[in-house]
Amino acid sequence: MEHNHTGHVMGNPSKMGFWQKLKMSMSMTMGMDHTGLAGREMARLMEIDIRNKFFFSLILTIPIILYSPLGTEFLKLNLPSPIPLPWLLFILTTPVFLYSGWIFLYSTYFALKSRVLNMAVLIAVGITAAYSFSVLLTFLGSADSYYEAAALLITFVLFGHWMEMKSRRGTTDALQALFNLVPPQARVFKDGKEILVSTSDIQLGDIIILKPGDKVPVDGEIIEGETAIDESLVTGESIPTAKNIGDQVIGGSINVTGSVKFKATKIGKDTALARIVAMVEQAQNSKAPGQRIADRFAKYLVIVAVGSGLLVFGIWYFVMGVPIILALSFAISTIVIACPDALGLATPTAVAVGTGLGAKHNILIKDAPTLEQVSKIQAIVLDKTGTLTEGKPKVTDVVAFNNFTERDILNYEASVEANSNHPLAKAIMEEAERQNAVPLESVSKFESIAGYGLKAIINGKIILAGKEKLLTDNKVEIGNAREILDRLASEGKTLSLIAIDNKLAGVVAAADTIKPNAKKAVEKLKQLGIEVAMITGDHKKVAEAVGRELDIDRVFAEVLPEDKEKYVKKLQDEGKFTAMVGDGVNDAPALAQSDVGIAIGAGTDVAIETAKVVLMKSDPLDILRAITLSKATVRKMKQNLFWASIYNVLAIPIAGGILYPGFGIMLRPEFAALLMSISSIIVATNAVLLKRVEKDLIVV
Amino acid sequence: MKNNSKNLIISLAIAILFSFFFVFMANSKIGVAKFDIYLGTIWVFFLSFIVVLSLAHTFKKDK
Repeated sequence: MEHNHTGHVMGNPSKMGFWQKLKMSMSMTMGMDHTGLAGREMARLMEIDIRNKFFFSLILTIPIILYSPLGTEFLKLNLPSPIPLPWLLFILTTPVFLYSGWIFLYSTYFALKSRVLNMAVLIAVGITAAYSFSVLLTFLGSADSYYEAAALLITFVLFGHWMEMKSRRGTTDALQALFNLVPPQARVFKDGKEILVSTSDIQLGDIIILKPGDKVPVDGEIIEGETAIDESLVTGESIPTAKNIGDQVIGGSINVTGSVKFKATKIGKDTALARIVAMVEQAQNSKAPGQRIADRFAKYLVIVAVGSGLLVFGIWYFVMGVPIILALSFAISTIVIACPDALGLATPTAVAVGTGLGAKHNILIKDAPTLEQVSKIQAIVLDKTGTLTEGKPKVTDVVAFNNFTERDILNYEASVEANSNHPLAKAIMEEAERQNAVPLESVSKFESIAGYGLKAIINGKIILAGKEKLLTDNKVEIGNAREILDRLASEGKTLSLIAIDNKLAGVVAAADTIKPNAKKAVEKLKQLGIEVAMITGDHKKVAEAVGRELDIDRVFAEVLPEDKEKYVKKLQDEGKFTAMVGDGVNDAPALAQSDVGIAIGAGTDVAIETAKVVLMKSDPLDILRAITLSKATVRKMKQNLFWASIYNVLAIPIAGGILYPGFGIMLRPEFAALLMSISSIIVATNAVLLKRVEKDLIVV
Repeated sequence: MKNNSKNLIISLAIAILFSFFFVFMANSKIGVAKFDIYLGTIWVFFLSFIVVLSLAHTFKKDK
């Protein structure tokens, strides 16, 4: 039985009245379920609320400490007090207990109601015992009290919780980002007229008009015209695809050049995009939130703590025969010292430092469980385009034949391609500029031969540029250039041949170039014993060429966008803890399916929102940095958990008064609270030492 | 839910038993103030209730 937000007052906090804000603040519990849009908003409000509660209790705790035995006996302070000290402390502590500490009491109510034991129960027992007995003693006129124990406890635990919420922030808006790809309105062709309708009103079979720059609203089939459509948002492939009559268009992609009409074949939840949305949603919901280590420890500690409180009280009161107040002091000390606030800080501080360090190096890790999971990666699936390669074609080879120079080739190609929309044209233009093969010649009788290439006349010479078929159709002899052409094609490169006056002049080869660090990254991942696989929608030849170059053994090529997750699942089914690295919308389901989704570079919003780890730079080596960081953080988390729990185990007997009969050493509750805070500081300091791992991140 | 109610009843019963036990023991001591008995009873009841409930829950989960 999870407590969720159904009973909460939601709204803009800046517009809320004081009572409304207070009501919301008082109805929050620890460990609430923060899913869905409302949940994400709630998590944000809760973080602000916890922060406010922390500062509120911090401000009041300072005078409480100064007026408490800690201040008067230890620091030898003698501050003036208008009213008797216990009453002053009562006035100062009550708001801390009732406002800042309320979250623990309220969470305990829900935890006990559903028989769940968590840290909130222990904290609540500790603060309630310390506070209520202090109040009783004060009302009875005793000078003794444990107010500072209660106040300190609340302050420290709230700080830990606030740090934890901070590190957990960055929850996903994946679904919203996906839906933003769909235009709100579309041009529908009806009764010979073009009318604007909202996308949700499009019916199956409607004819939709696409003009250059329009976003495609739904899936369909082209019935008139031809164009190039940028499907990179949906398929991740950077080169716009040429579309003719009968070709399919995908909702969410962008029409680049021509005007076309298409018939809507899939609308609403049947579109490819909607299916991706559904898959992301399903994958996200299918994962149970990993139970945190600290909570597991706390579950047992709660029994040990409360049980020892009872045992210690019974032994002192009945067996040793001491007065009830002394027996209670021992019992409360025991519970206070067993209260796992260092345990509560152990992981959040390590996570805060770890994620902070990551952010400094452009590695964003979205939540604490992810930080832990990254260290466990056994297999990693890398998307080719954008992850291992630059994601845009670049000219790799210029070869001249029949006494032409390379400069001629580039110059003629660039002159002709300047008039073309082909994605390869851009790469050629860039290369021509880089090699100073400009100015361009003036072109006449320019003609685009759809699907094959271009024909034009430059300085009276007939120029043919494009696919091999264009040249052979025009009776251009390939001759002994065949060997070079075959070699270039086998390397997975896109070729543009050029013939001048029906004589083969040269060839320009372009390919999506491999990122500088990709090879090193793959090599190091393998050294760590991680299985590396590559996945792409590209042609098998291209994929294998890249795979060979990078020494990747497992290559999945020609994979449809919606099938990518199946390959991730395949590795998971082999029993491997699998990570997926990608940057396109098409990667979103695979990212969600994987155990750790890693979005790389200036990828799409969706990939970034779905992924648990975002590598802001497009450097594949950052994958290794994330793993190094994760391993170091997990090591720190374990160290901290060990120190925090061993401290509790050792301190409980001392607090229970084991040293009192023999040595007269008694741990009063306030000293127990002080010791507890020291243990917290040790744990926090240990976490900060994690920064030493930074030098390893630079070296990677 | 049935199991949970059973746990709750057992926990309450044991907590009350412990409290009576405490009152009985405390009363048999000489010169115990009434307040001491009240305070002790609350403490014993409260803690034993939580301990038994926790134990019941933990065993149920581990089973």
